[in-house]
Amino acid sequence: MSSAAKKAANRRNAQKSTGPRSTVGKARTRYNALRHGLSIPAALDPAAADRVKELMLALDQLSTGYGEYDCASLAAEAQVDIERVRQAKAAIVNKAAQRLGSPDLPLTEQAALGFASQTKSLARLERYERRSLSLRKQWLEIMPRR
Amino acid sequence: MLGKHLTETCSRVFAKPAIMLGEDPADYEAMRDLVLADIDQDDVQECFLARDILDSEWELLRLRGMKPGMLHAAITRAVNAMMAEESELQPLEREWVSPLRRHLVGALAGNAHERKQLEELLSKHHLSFQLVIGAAFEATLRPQVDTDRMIGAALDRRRAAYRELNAYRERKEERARWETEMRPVPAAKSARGNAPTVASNMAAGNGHAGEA
Repeated sequence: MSSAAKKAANRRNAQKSTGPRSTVGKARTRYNALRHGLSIPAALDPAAADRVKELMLALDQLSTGYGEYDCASLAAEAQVDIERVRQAKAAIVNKAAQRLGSPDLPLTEQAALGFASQTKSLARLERYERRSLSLRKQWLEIMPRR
Repeated sequence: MLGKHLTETCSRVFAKPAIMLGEDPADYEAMRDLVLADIDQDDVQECFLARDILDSEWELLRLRGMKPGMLHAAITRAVNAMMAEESELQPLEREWVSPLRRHLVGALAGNAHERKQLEELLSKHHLSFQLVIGAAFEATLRPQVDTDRMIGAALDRRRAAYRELNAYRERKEERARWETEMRPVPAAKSARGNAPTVASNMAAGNGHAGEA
């Protein structure tokens, strides 16, 4: 149990640290908690929107023209999610390799160093890929066919 | 053979490969061509599955390469750490790092001459080949175990993609067979002389007449 004095001190201190106040400061810290963004569906990611549209067009050749729109767009989104996971894996290793590897090391060894430092994070990404693969399978199975 | 439309579709599906540092995009493309030639996909869903197979294969190769790669990269650090433990030993001189790695890669590839030179180099620091490999392996034990798990996951993904592809093709064949059986016979051959229907088709003995 905290004492009354400690509680008062905590309240006083909390008033001092309320995060950034300026627009620039807020903009700078906006993505502090963002790790890889893979929990956000591709549909909500503006950067992935074009790719979703492109894959939807590709899926259009399979559809019947009746009731397929949702299934095709959801399958395309799942496919983009799968691609995002694979891209994220490569980006994590590349970033770590640049941080840890010295220029006199061959590129493959730099990548190996980066990879060794990130295996835990990479293993954690597996579930995102599994989930997206399963979603894509579901949507493609129920999509009406020509 | 792929049609023009399907080639475009396929190239859309296969865009944006995930390439890591030290990997060659040309190798990925060469592997893609091999996988596509083997699978001979004929619609976009098969393209998706072909891409899954390709990416799993690529990841398997990558992970299997990472295992010795991690060991190689950890050697010099392991040597330095071992020297730091022994207070009377000097840390590894920078100019020795490159020959050490060169001899090591040669020795691990089975070159006896390189191994002898490596042993000589290490003996100057009161170390041995086995000791250094052991220390490097110990330093990368956790990542090695994680990598094995990731290899298992990639193998599962590849197996699942092949299974899904086979099931999809079987369903497609079954649908095509069913459509052929249910196709109306031409009017001249119709038993009743009326416009052909599924019912008249069945009555004529095509399709599932026994069930009608």
